[in-house]
Amino acid sequence: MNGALPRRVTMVFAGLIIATCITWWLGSESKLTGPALGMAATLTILIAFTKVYFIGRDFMELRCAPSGLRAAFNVWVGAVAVAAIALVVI
Amino acid sequence: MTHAQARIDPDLPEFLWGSDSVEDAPRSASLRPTKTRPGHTPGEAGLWIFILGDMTLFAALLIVFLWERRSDPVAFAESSHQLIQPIGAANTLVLVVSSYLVVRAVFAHRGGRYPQARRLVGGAVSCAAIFAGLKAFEYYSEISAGHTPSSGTFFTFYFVLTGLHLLHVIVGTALLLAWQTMLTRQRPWTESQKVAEGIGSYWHMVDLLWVAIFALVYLVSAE
Amino acid sequence: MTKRILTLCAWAGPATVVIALIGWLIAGVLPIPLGSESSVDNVVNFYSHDTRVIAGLVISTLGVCLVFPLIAVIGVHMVKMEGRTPILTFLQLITGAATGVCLLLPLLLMTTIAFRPDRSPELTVTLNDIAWLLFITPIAPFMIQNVAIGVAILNDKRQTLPRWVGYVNFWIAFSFIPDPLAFFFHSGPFAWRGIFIFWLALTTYSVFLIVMGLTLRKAIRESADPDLSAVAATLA
Repeated sequence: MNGALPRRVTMVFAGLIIATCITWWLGSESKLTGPALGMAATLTILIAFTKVYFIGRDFMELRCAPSGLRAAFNVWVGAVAVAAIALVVI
Repeated sequence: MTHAQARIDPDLPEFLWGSDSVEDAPRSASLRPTKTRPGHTPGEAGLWIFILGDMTLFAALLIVFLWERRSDPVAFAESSHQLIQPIGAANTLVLVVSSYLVVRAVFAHRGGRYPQARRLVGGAVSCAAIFAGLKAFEYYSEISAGHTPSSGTFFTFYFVLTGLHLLHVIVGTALLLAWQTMLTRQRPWTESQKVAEGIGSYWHMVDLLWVAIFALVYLVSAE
Repeated sequence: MTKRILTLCAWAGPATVVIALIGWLIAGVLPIPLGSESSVDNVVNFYSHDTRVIAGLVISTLGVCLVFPLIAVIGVHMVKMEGRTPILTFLQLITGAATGVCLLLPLLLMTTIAFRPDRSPELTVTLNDIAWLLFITPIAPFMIQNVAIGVAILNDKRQTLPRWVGYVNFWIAFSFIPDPLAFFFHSGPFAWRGIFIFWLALTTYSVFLIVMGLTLRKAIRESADPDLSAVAATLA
């Protein structure tokens, strides 16, 4: 292993920073009501759990992990995201 | 088959005989060849039981939090607005940066670049300190404003979620410092791989849990 | 013979869960235990079924004491892990013994409440509070025991027990952390009957007993017979 950091990791990092700023902006644009509120909440949750997915995939290096472990992690991300959206929107 | 070769000490009870060396170790089941599976488990398999188990506990807390929110979303929104969102956001950025430094440190350790790895881990520890400092300030502000864990369901969950998370940050920091000691001693990657990757994975878990907490407690509740 | 005793002690782990749960089902503590938010009438009414409650609770007190053999067999294996300075072994034995007492006394107290169902309701409620809070809140002996086991397993070069068992012990220790919150809340998920207090701790502690019992049984089965080596040693 040569130990050089793949560019992919740095790009994921940049993506995470940008996503954090986007969700913060979304959250601070409060005073939303009705369907716009539901959409903003859903979007926030989706962005947040996409961030979680990428932290697992590229920071935890799960992309090289056995498929069972990767699947377990992804199931967690998916299940919690869906449950969160359902509880907020429905 | 028998332990006749073990050191026999008539002054000690029998179960304390036996050497401390590994050569005497009985063939344990784990030395059987395991079926090869493609892919490399970061750290070791057992650690992931802990990490996924921990993530599941936090997920349960977050789900119940959202469930409780449904009975009074207005009160939750009001309470959430009392939180200092910029601190929450800053803490998210701080942890993301620290996670990035940890990934770079793993690669540096792998490549034998010990001084660089040590600096990167040190950077992550500094980020943890910043996180803790911001958190302390945030708690102080909340409590001075009269919001305590008994100020209603939202604040109960806020303090429990962030408090448990902070405990994880503290444990994680201790682990990072232990890793830094390994790096100072220039422990080679072949010996340290499982431990270093394990500590890294634990830290990434701390990061991703905060991402979820920030999104649901600070942002979604306030909307 | 020794191997048989060790195996029996390992089985005591899962047996604790089965017998204690049966006892609680009979007593009515399960499926829904009394909560801090239960009314005075509910509490008095529960203990008024004195024969059933006493019988069930006595069974459960016998059940929880089966943790003692398990603690002992864990100790034997931890000595193998640690060698000549078995500090974590001692720690596990001490804190394990404490956990047994922490489980036993509150249940005996509950049985005592049912001894005189015509007590003043205030006394019944007070005694019930004491019993439940003493049962739920003393996390330290349990956590120290789990951490000692976990650390010993991870530091063990001989892999006496599989490494994942160490990690499971850490997770179980962590799951007890919210329990002192039961002092602060009279209702909701962090009260003594709350999902993150009673139900979580019940689940993870049962996991501990079953996992330790089964993995120890396997380790005992695959280890050399201690009686043979003792005989060989005396002949040597």
